[in-house]
Amino acid sequence: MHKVVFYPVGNGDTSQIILDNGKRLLFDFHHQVQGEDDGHPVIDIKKRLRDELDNAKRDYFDVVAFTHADKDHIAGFSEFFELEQADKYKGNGRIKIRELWVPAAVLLEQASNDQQSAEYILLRQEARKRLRDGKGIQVFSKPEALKDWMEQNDISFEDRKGLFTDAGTLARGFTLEADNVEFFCHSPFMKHCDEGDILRNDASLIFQIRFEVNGYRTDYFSVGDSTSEALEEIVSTTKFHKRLDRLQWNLLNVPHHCSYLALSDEKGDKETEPKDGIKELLRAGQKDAYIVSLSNPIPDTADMYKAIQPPHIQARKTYERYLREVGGRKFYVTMEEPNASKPHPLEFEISERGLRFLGRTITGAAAVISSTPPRAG
Amino acid sequence: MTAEFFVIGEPLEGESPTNMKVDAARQTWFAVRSHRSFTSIEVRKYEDIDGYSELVIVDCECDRIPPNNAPRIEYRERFALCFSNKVNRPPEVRALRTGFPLTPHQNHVLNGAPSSLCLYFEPWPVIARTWTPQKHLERILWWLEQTALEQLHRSDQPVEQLYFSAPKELVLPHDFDEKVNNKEFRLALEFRPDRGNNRQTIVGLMQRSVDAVSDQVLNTSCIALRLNSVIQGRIEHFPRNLGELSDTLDARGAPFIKELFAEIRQRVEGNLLKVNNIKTILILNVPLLKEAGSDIARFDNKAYFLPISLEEIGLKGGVLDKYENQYLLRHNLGIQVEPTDAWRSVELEPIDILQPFTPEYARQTSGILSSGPKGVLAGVGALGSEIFNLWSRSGWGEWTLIDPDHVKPHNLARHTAFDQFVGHNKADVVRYLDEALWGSTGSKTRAIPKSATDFDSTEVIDALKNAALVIDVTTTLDYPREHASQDDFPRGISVFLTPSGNGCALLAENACRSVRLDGVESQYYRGILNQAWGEAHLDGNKSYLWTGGGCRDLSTVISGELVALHAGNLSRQIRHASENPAAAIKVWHYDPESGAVATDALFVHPVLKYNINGLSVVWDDGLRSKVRELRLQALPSETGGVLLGYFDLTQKNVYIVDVLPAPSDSQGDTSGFSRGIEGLANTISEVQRRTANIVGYLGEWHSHPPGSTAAASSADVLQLAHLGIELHRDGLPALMLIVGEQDERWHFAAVKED
Repeated sequence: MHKVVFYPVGNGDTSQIILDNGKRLLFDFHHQVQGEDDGHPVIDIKKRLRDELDNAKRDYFDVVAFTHADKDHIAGFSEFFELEQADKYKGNGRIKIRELWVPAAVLLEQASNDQQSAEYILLRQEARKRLRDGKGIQVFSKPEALKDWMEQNDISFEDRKGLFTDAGTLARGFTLEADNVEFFCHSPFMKHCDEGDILRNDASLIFQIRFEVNGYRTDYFSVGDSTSEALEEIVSTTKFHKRLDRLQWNLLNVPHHCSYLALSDEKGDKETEPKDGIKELLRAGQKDAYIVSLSNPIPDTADMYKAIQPPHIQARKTYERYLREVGGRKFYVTMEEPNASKPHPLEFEISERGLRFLGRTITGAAAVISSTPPRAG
Repeated sequence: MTAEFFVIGEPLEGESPTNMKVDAARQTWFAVRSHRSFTSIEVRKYEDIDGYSELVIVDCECDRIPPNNAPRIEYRERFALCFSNKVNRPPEVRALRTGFPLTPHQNHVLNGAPSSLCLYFEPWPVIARTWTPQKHLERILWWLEQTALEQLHRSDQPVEQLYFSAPKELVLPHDFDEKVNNKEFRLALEFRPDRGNNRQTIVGLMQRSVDAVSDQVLNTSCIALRLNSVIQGRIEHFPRNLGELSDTLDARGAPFIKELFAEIRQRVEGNLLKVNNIKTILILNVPLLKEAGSDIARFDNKAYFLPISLEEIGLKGGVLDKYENQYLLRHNLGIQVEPTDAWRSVELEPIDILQPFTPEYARQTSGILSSGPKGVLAGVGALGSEIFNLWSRSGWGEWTLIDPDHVKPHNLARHTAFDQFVGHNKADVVRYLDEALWGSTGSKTRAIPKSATDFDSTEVIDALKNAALVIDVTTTLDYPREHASQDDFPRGISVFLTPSGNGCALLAENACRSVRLDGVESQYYRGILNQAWGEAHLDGNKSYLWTGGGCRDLSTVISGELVALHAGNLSRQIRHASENPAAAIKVWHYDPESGAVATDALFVHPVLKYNINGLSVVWDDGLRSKVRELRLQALPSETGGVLLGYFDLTQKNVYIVDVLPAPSDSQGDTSGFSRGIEGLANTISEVQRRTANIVGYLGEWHSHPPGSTAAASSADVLQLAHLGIELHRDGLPALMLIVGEQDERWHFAAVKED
């Protein structure tokens, strides 16, 4: 059985795919110091992942993908992983990364202000080091700017061509035959226009991850952060290439912690009215599909409708409406399950019987013994 | 794709839960409200002869159901949670979606009624003691998940009956599937006593048709039909009458009604049958296929009790006529007659089918995978008969029992025999009991009431040579020694109780028989001499181990409890040992106070043989290492000591059990060794005590200094002559072992009288 796990890391992303053959792919990393405190709802992601690897008798991930370099997708990674760039980042129980997956923009200097954190620079250096070494990395898209940078730095692009994967193709290293899974890359993509190819700097990794077990297919549409504009372009490009099946999903993790901006530019009062292209993507959901929001809780309360920062209740309402329309199951929020005070990771199982959510409400005695009861007098 | 739902009962008037009258229903209403997977739709009620019930109608969303599940359970299902005001009625859960699949673990409901989930394994009075509405809801989720994952029961068993259990049960004979279609055989029924309330077990037997007892005698006609094969995996509701049964089987492609009437015609043909009021048992045998075109995977048997006679069914089916109190075949003479449907309403009462006890079933029940060897069990006394009893009941092995003894009154304390068997051969008695165990399935056990060492008997010798394994429970040392001397015998395993009854031992040859029982026996004695457990292992012996250990001796005091305890242990251990090709020595010690059983095992060394003057010296690699080690420790001086063992003059073998190191007052240097006597007499006496006088003094051993071979020096020859003369007083030869730089040599001295 394959597993997809989403971790309650607040308004941030950390998820993992654990294949039946034992391979592990981690998508983003968001550690929060307050999570180290038992009483805080956010999970101690370092401890949790380390425990999981210990149980599996491993000290590495096969793949660690950073969908983009925003803080809520990389926070704390430089203290957790072994980095090739310098000895001080090695050993001491650091977790190894067999292959790093990043969008090309991570290697370039043109990052937004938010991305110019100390950790972002470490990530960029790590990606550059691995690119220079010619191993342990897969770079998604190959913009001219990166090729220029490589030339200036005496790194032969020709020798490293195999490290690059373009949108519209499958990521290297995984096949349906060998692993029951393939990663179709939707983003970052090049936009062709008169001035030449333009890479959206803010574009994060977006995959349609296809599982096929004994002929039964389950599609997981995995989006880091994205805007409605970029998503619409993905839809139109995919339609142009007549690959509509690459928009299908049985599992969708919604962009940017359930921000309305991934649906439309207008938030709406009760619901966000999605742009036409987004509607098509939402309607590509299959019967019994799930949607997951990696975010803080999204209760249906009056003040939530006024929220400026994501998550947005209006966006949730929209997702839920479309989920019902396609005969889907439920919209789950990482920080809500099974309750907002002590959420557990959301675990999904994928087999020849399809996708199912393994969550089970823990109540009664089982719940009491898994936490400290209030202090007795 | 909106689902369609059954509607049961009528809406409850007024507010819920205020107006709800059934406590469990009201509690459940609250539990549903706070359960994330359930949503309350409405509350309904109904009244019938069984009383008043309230129904909490809910939608249930179960995340653990995979979408691509074979039974086709949906993520969202609607249920009626039904609660009766009768406390002894279990709560019922009815699936309201009209397309809800028929799956295993559902209760029997009438055709067309909403499915009823069978949630609990135990009877309701047991469940009720810990039942809460919250647990009930979790149980529904569990049922849905397990059913969707097909982890509940086999997929082809009929739905279960909640309020009904068939009063009659039928044990089909083991050869039913094989012979049901053979006209030479008929299923004969034996009715066991009615246990009250019409509850009764019927045992079937395939009988030659010519021997069959008439239906009138049994007051029942029995008709068994083989139908077309069908693909397995469908689950059926119980049919209420012959018409429903026929429709169900027609739909599966296994029609039977024509065959039924043909069979009825055939039975009436040429017979003038009087009108009678006997009943009918109908058994349908359906070969099941895994998929179209595959071989028959197994047979599905269903039995029904019909309250009228076969002839009456024939009458209703229009194949018979009744004339003046007699049934006649109807001859239509080419006139078209409308087929009558009257047979359709003949009621059916299901009969539970029980599997007959067969060796396969016995193994399955006992958790034993292997069918076991074709073996000989030599000795069916107290221990042997009990071990055999356990193996036979667990379907392990096919056995030939060899034992020359007969049952005497005192044997009844420990043997599986009964008083009526006193004076009969034990082998025959045990086989007879085995036949009683297996009934119509039959016993494959053979009995030879002779001694296992009676090699003049072709019966005995053939049985031993043709077996794959011989288990020796003779509790003599006669049989194992003889067994060891035979090259064309199969592997042998000996077991016996210790004289006190508190211990037992298992000695096994290896599968290739390079190590035989006699060599294993002598290493067992070395264990007794050197291991802590040997101190009291053979306590209670009367200076003769083997025959005293058996129960032939009237004065032996061992309780049946101990025999049963060791038999249970040994029967399992023999099974394990037989599956492991290595030789084995294992002992068990029972603490009669605490009940603890301790165990020890010895490594069995490769056996070495050395022939001198027609005598075989049997020793082993472990002992050779031991003397070499003693030599090494003493170098550069010589050292030596006493040889321990015993003769088997029948086999002309001498078994070397152990060597003693030099007594403390011995003197050894680079040129010679003089064995002292300090403590030696005590040690030898302890050796004899521990081994029930079997092991004793055999001769001397000593080592040679570096660079020397094991050839006897002139001094050695003198010593050997001296020993020969001394031991001749016991009528025995003397042995001497010399351990040289590279080799060991055995020397031998016997006095010739002539």
